[in-house]
Amino acid sequence: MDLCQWAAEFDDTQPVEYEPVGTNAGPYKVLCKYSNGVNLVMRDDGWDGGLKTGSCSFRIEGDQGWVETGDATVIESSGNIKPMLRPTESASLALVNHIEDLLRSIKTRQFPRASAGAAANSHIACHAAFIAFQRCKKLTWDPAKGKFTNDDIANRMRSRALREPWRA
Amino acid sequence: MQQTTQPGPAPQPPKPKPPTPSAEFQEGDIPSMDAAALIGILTDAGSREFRKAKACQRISELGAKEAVPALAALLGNEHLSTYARYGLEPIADPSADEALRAGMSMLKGNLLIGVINSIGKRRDALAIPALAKMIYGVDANVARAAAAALGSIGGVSAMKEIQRALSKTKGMTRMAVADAGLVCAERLLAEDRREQALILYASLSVIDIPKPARLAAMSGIIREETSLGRPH
Repeated sequence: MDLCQWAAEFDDTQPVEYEPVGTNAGPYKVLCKYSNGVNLVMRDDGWDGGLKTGSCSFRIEGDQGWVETGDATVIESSGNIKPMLRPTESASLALVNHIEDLLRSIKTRQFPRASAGAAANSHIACHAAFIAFQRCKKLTWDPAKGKFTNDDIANRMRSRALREPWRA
Repeated sequence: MQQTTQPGPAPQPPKPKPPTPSAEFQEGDIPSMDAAALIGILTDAGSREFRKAKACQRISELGAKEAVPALAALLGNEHLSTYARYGLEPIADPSADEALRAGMSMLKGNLLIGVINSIGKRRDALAIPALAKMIYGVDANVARAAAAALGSIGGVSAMKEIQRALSKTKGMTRMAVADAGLVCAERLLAEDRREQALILYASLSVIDIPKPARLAAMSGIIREETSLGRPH
């Protein structure tokens, strides 16, 4: 999810629509839409069926082709994009790169690529999608207010009491 | 065509289906029950704890104010207090605040802390006097929870209690009060009470305030005073 938000340049917000499909039949998916019309599809069963691209797979489809990857450091794409693909790195390097990026951000006083805000927005979108799945209905979301605009029950599901003595 | 520098992992087997819980731990028709039926579960001495917990969760979705007395009765139950608060927190009616405030005077230890946390989450300004007293109580964990709740509630009354407590507390409780002051200042800024927020930041910037909070307060002052949107 975080990579989808990053690729679509939506690190600072969340989708505004969440429509669950197949919630009682499975595998299910949630069709999401950003405010500018970009569509995001969350799928219970990944993207390529055989999980060739590994866990957390995601696929970007545009006007002129598609590209798909995941945690297995494999990239698949439509034919016109293949010449532009660069060799991938080992999965273990991703963690090293995150640490290096954090140190760079401290040095340069800039946000890391995976900032706290970007992570929070990704998680909020996932929770909103799961609430739509639980409610079995299309929900609309106001990212600025952090509220659903068409369902009171969904709004009451946004938070729950924490087990004592914990607090947020 | 695929581009790889290392072989990918072997294809994963399909996800195993989760085991079916025993009858004792199945919610049955609770997700579709109305408030009256759910209250019936909560008030039935023969209901199992699992069903009562699930009923509290369903009540939280419905936001049913008629369930407040039944939920309030569970606040002192060691196993179900969290679930009672789960049900109470989203109920918009003031009776939920009254139930939590009443719980403050009856509970101790972690159950009291849970109720204080819920009061802070609901931002119940009527609880400010009671919370302010608790900062000076003998239970340090309760004192810290009370301070945090004051910060969450925010507003000028909470701000004054936090400022007072800064000079009367020490150690970890003082750190909690200072943390609460930072949260309160953010609340004041969000409510366009910039002047009060800056006063609170100034209170938190003096030399004997714990360093992490002091630096955060000074950062807040710098951010606000250098903001292009500041009043001239």
